[in-house]
Amino acid sequence: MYRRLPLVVTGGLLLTLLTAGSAAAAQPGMAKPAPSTSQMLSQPATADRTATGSAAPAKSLAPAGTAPYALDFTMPTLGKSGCMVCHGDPNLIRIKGDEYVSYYVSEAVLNASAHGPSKKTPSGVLCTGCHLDFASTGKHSDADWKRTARMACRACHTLEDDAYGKGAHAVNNRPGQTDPNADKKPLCGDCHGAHDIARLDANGLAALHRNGWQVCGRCHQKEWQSYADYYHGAAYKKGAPDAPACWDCHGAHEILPSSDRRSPTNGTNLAATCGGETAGKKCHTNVNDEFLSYAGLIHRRAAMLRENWLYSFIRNAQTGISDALSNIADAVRSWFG
Amino acid sequence: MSTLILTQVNVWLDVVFFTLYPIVLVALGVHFLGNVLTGRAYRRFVKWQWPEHDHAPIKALPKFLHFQHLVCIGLLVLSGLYIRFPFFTGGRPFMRGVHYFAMTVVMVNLIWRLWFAYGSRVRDYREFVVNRRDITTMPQVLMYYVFIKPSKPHLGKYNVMQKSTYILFVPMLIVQALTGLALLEFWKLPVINMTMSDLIVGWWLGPLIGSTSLAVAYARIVHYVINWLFILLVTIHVYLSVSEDFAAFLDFFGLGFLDKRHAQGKAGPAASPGHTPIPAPNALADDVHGATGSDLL
Ligand code: HEM
Ligand code: HEM
Repeated sequence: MYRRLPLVVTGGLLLTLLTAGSAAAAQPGMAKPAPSTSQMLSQPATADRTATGSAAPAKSLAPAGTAPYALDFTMPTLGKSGCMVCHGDPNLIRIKGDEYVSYYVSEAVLNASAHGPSKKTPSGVLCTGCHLDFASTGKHSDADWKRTARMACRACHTLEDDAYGKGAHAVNNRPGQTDPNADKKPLCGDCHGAHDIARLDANGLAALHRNGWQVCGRCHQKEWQSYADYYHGAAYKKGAPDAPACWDCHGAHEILPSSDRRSPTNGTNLAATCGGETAGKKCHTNVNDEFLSYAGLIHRRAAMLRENWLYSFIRNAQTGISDALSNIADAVRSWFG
Repeated sequence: MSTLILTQVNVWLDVVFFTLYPIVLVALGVHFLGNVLTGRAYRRFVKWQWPEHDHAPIKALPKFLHFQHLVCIGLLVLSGLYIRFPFFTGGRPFMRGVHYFAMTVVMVNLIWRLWFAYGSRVRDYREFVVNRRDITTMPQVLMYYVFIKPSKPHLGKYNVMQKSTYILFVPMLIVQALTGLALLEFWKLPVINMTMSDLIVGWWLGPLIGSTSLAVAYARIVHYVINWLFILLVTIHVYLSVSEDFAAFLDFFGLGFLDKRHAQGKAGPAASPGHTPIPAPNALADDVHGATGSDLL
């Protein structure tokens, strides 16, 4: 039966081509991702995540008039049945404008992820465990399915969701006033990814530890750049396993600005934060106020270097000299035609 | 606020030394140009006339000890600078390991060299002692190096600049070892239940400036400054060993041998360009050339 699959997909593609215009028009939710998502898409580092990460209603694949999807169609990812019949095919793409968008989900990646089969959940988490809006007997929904999937985590990870709700990343609507930044706030999936969320074993923890750019840096680019002191930032970016990742100092779900007294980077909590742990290893001992003001080094060294007059003098001299040299080279070249 | 100053100091040190080092390299290049213009380079590298040597060839044990220094200091500079400025990905645990390994070897080696200088049969410490005649001839040595004088007085195995540099290496390495060990904040020594940081700087500097961790930050600054002193002095040392006495350099690396006939160092000026032997009163001569014992090795 599977041998016919390529045929089905090719047929589906043709159909897609024919209906491309109408399909795009029919799915406003997909055409308008949250701003943080678009930022995410603009980074090359996220390409693989989007490749394995997006699954869209492949409406055009279903021959017109077939029966509505039934719940038992969305089967476990084990064995190619249910969603994976179509989404397990690497060729499952749609053409949107002048782009190919993949709707392929790698079963291998999914099974290796935290939500793949394990002792506790032998079948792994079902597709519909996160894609809640596809569990109905209706057609593939046109709604903002990405948003649903990115927030579905809360169904199981309640503690993390509670903490997230208290932090600066949560939408903060007040009575009579909606949060003006609501669109920019990240949902669970924006930081954690989708089908490739790592298991929290030694390898997964190490991978997570290295993932600061993906998790935080893509949005907080200024802070990522200024995280460049010797033993924390510079070392972290060069893969030092014992250098702190963003969240080792800033906390994870209940993220707060350092001006907030509950924030781990607020002055009142720095002693506990710097005296804490990175990757299971104790950080600083003998932490006191004198020592703590040294924490300014962490995000400020890069700026201090830039403000250093000797450094900027040399930089300017360097560019001046290289400009002059290239001017001379140009002049010499022009003599010889 | 004192601590923001600490950051400033670190940034300044980076900028100053990274600026100074290329300047020194250029200066050495200019110096070699001086060698070319004054004909020194021609006499040495073309006519192959090198200074007289009191002891030739160089003995095996000091050579071996020096090789260890060369390798270890090289590794320490490389791994130390990596710890501060990681210049490739994923190397911190390894480069730390390299630093810890080389520091152990270099500390053993230092003790061994000091024993060789003071305790062994050879006792070559006399070669390094800066005596009164060294000091009085120092201006002449300096003038020789800046091309004002055509030759420098020959007093012993090393001239006064060499002696002072080699002597300086000893306290530098000792301070480097102490400040380096003081950076080991986490590893508790068994019996006394203190960290190296507590033991070396914590108990006295800690209370003065705030905490052990802060004292470690100061120790780090000293360690870093001396690191650059090593880099600068060794660069000049290597340059001069090539440009002033390439024959000894080759001997050193087993690529050639010093001429035994010239091993007395008493030849006339014509036979040894760049050297003016000073006839010394006997008592002093003993002081300077006392290490004849090294021929035993
Ligand atoms: C490529 C690197 C180096 C070269 C080519 C070199 C070359 C030499 C030469 C030719 C001598 C004269 C040996 C003699 O006549 O007894 C010497 C002596 C000496 N060098 Fe170096 N050197 C190098 C690196 C170093 C380093 C890294 C250090 C230590 C930081 C050092 C410290 C000394 C000292 C203390 C002496 C005095 C005598 C002795 O220890 O044997 N050198 N070097
Ligand atoms: C002689 C014994 C020495 C000992 C015991 C020693 C020990 C140490 C230790 C424990 C560290 C900290 C490493 C870490 O953070 O894991 C360090 C850093 C460093 N060492 Fe050494 N070291 C020694 C000699 C040297 C020498 C000879 C040099 C260079 C000539 C050197 C250059 C450096 C540099 C540049 C750093 C980084 C400093 C910074 O982060 O600012 N060390 N050393």
